[in-house]
Amino acid sequence: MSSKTAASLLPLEVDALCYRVEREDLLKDISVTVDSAGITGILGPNGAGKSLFLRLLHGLLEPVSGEIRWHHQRLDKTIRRRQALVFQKPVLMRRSVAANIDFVLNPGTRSRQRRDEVLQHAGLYRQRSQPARLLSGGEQQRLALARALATEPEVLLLDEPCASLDSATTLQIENLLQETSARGVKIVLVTHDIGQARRLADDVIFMHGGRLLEYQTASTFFDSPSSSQARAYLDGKIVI
Amino acid sequence: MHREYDEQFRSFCIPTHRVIGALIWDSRYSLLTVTLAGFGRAIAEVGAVIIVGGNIDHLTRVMTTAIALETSKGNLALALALGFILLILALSVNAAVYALRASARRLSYA
Ligand SMILES: Nc1ncnc2c1ncn2[C@@H]1O[C@H](COP(=O)(O)OP(=O)(O)O)[C@@H](O)[C@H]1O
Ligand SMILES: [Mg+2]
Repeated sequence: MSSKTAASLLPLEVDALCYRVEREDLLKDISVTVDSAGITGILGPNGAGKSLFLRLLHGLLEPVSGEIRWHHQRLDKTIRRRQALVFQKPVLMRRSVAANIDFVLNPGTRSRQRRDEVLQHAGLYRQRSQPARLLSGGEQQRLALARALATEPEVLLLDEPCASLDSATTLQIENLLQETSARGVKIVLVTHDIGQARRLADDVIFMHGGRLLEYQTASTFFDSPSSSQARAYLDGKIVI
Repeated sequence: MHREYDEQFRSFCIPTHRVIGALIWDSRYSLLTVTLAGFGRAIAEVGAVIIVGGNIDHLTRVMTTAIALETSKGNLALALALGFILLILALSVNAAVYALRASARRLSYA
């Protein structure tokens, strides 16, 4: 696996970002600059707009107003190609495990060896000829992650990759993420698992009701969050 | 299926021609089963029409009537042979459909 230089797409600058569907403001005036490598966690209760924000960061949705820049450039296809997004619900193709990897490898340079490497890394080599959609939930999520990594992204965006997985599988995925981060890939991780954010995140974005309420280093956020919503969220209270 | 794949393909920046190819390829079994089911219906409909109206003297002869005719003429061997062919045709079309359905489920979990 090639080791690209640390996060050349940074800084990420988000400027007065708004997203609206049918007159309903779903994301309101979000501004933030992320300039640190490592893992940025996006935390917040359900419906806070985390998934929407992630899609916007990847360019799958167009903002109604405001701007997103990666490395001072407006988001476009060339930037999206340098990123990979793992969806909350893995979207696997109706093909074998191996064929799912083959599909995203560059047609010019793909090789069986490269694919087997990717599968071995994700611990899925044994299942390579199985239909991808018959894998267990954890294996499916691992395949989705392996497929994303196979494209050698510089930025990896993840939407609750461990929701509804057991703790052993969660640990496997967390290890993969830490390893990936150590290779210099910038990771943006949406999660509502506070424990996971504590284990992985270097800095934290806290969202609530379509707004970005905090952007802090992880230690500051977990020790002394500045917003009352974040405090309540960390205390496990139900925040509305 | 397109809706399901769409965002993921856009995320990977898959060019349009590959998207179309992948959508057709990944739905090949359901497409085939649909085609065969349609084929089966057509055969059934056409068959019914022919059985009723297709037996015009000197012009056409339908297999089933031909079988009956040959039997009544005492040409049992030919009748049996024709019956056999008919049976095999029907069976193989059905077998093909079932095999396809089974492998479709196994391979693609469509
Ligand atoms: N396409 C859409 N049309 C209308 N409302 C949407 C759409 N997508 C998301 N929403 C709404 O936006 C809010 C934020 O959604 P989401 O980003 O998925 O939240 P979460 O933080 O749980 O990931 C939710 O209330 C959701 O119902
Ligand atoms: Mg979500």
